[in-house]
Formats: sequence, structure tokens, C-alpha cells
Amino acid sequence: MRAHASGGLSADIARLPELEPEIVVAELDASVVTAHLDPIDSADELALAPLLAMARSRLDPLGCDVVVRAFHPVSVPALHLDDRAARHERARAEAEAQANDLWAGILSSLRDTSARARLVLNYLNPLVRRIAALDGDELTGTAIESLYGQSLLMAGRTLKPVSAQSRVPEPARMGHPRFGRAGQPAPTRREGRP
Amino acid sequence: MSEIEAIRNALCRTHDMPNGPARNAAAEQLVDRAAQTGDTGLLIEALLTLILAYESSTERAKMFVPFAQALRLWDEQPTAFSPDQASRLHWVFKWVTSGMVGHAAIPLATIEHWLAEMRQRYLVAGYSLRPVYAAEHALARHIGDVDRAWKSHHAWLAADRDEMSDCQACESNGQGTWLAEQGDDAGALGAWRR
Repeated sequence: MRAHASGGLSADIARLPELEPEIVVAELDASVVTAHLDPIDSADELALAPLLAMARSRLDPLGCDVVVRAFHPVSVPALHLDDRAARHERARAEAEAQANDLWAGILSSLRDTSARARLVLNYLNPLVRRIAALDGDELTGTAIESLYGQSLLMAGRTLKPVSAQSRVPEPARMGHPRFGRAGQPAPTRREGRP
Repeated sequence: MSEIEAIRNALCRTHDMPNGPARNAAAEQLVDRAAQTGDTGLLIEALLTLILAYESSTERAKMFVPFAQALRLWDEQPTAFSPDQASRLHWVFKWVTSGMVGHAAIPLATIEHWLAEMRQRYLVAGYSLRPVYAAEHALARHIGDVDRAWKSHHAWLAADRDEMSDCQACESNGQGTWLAEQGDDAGALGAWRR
């Protein structure tokens, strides 16, 4: 029997096998989900090549790849798929950008180019069709970035300044400073050390 | 319960979870939540919790990212660290060094550079260099530099023990296997009986 539970890799779900050994818990990563969405006709995909190229170059600095699939509900123009590997790669890139020379070098040698979030455009969605028919890179790029911002919000993600800095519409600017003022003393629980 | 309290409690709960990806994922989410509170002490606690979770799992190589973040905070806001957190941060240097030696993507010159920095940082913090010599010994053994391995072995034994030293059993184990490897069986037995 197969059941799907949402909630990312929630700690509680991961422990289900402790209750019932026959339950197998597997983590769905972005590539697994993408593979289960319907591919579109290859001629249609070919016609979308310019849009995809533009979208990929716009979202590349944000560590996000772009693909096209057909999926329901039709009203959802784009789906943002993220997984632990992609999140770790973003944390790595962010730490590299802030680190001193030695640590920037160390973190740079750990780059994982295959771990990226994905924006899945829905070929069945009328807005996506309209964007694909737009003339002019500037407008198309802005539309793609807006879809990206919207899909992040739909996924319940807080936008960071880096995601919201360019042309994402104003209401989406919800980023928090990553590091703020000095805080209160932390819990004093000590670790068992090897 | 405030968000800060909720994060503190959740951080404590990760220590009771089984080692592995679910615990790591829980700690990763808590790092993001802690960063959004702007409470640096809480963020430090979350980073140290994540580092410990990684160290206890098969995802040890991910530790470099939260460590680089924690080390940068230490350089920029040392007063945000409680004495216990400062001590745990320095303890983690040893995991990081052994992690680098075992990681093929990190160049030898970078490891040497980090080892020199570890030495400097232990001196500044007032710790004995005993763990630094132990780390140098492990590196020399790894690359087959027998002369340097002997030198650092003797320096390791000669340096004072303090709160950063591995436990006596761990140290004796490593020292004994080195002596046995070098054909000094009597010396190895002596070390293991210490």
C-alpha cells in the first residue's frame, strides 16, 4: 500500500516506522516530483525553448532551474520545488559569499551544481501561455520573476532579500535580515562529547 | 510561547531524536527560523545543534556550512557567544579538521592553512595546543609523512591536557595504533594501558 503524507521531511513522519516497521518512509526530492508530472509534447516544448532559456538565465542567480510540465490544477501557473540538497546548496553559497578568504575557498570546493530548486511552469495554465507569447525579453523576464515570487509564497516560503531584490512585485518584499542584533544567552544544555 | 522559546525547546528536542536525515532536517529548519528572529545567541545555538546533528550522521560533510557561519559570527560578535557556546565552537574545530582530511574535494594546502588557523585560534582562546598536534598527527599519517607524524605525536604527548583534549581513552587509542603501525608493539600496549 502506498500513502502520501505532506509536510516535507517532518520529523514525526520520519519516525513512523518505529510504530509500524512495515511502513517505509521515503523523502520526495524535486527530481522525483518533476518526473511524476506529465511531460508536454516535444514540438510544444521546442516552441517554448526561447522562453525557457530566458527564464533559466533570469532565475540562475537565485539558484533555481526552470522546466515545463502539464499538471492540475490548471489555475496554478507555476510550482516551486525545493529539497534538502537544494536548500543546503543555497546555504553553502550564502555562507561562501559572507566568508573570509580561507572559508570562501573551502566552501567553494564543496559546490554542488546538481542541487537546485526548480520552478515548474504549468503548460495548461493560460497565464503561462500568454507569457510564452509575449514579445520582448524584458517583459517576459519580469513575468517569470513574478511567477517565481508567487510560487515561493504559495509554497509558504518567506522571501529573503535576495529573492525579492529585483523585479518581484512590492507586496512580496517580506524578507528578514538574516543576522540581527546580539541576543540573549542561549540554553545551557551541554552536549555529550566523544 | 514566544517563537524564541519555541525554537529553544525544539532545539533541545533534536537531541533526543535518532541520528540521521530527519534530525538533520529538523535542525536545518530551526537554523532558518532562528535566523529570522534576529537573536544571534539563538542562531549560534541552532548552528551548533545542526553541526552536532551532522557530525552524528552520515552527512558529516555538510558541517562545513554551519561551521563557517558560526565562525564568522564568532569573529564579528564574540560577545554574543555564551562561555559554553564558545567552548563548543572550539571543540568543533577538531571535527572540522578531521572532516577536511577525509574530504577529497578540499585541497591539502587549504587543510594546512586551516590547521595553522586552528593553532592560532586555540592560542588566542588560551587553550593547550594538544588537540592541534593531534590533528596535525592525523593529517601527517593520512598523507604518509612519517617524520612529521612522529614529531606531532611527541608534541601531542608533551602538551598539557585541558578541556579541549579528547578523553584519555580516545587519545590512547590513537597513540597506540600509531605505535603498533610503526612496529613498536610494546609501546602500543603501554599506550593502551595508560
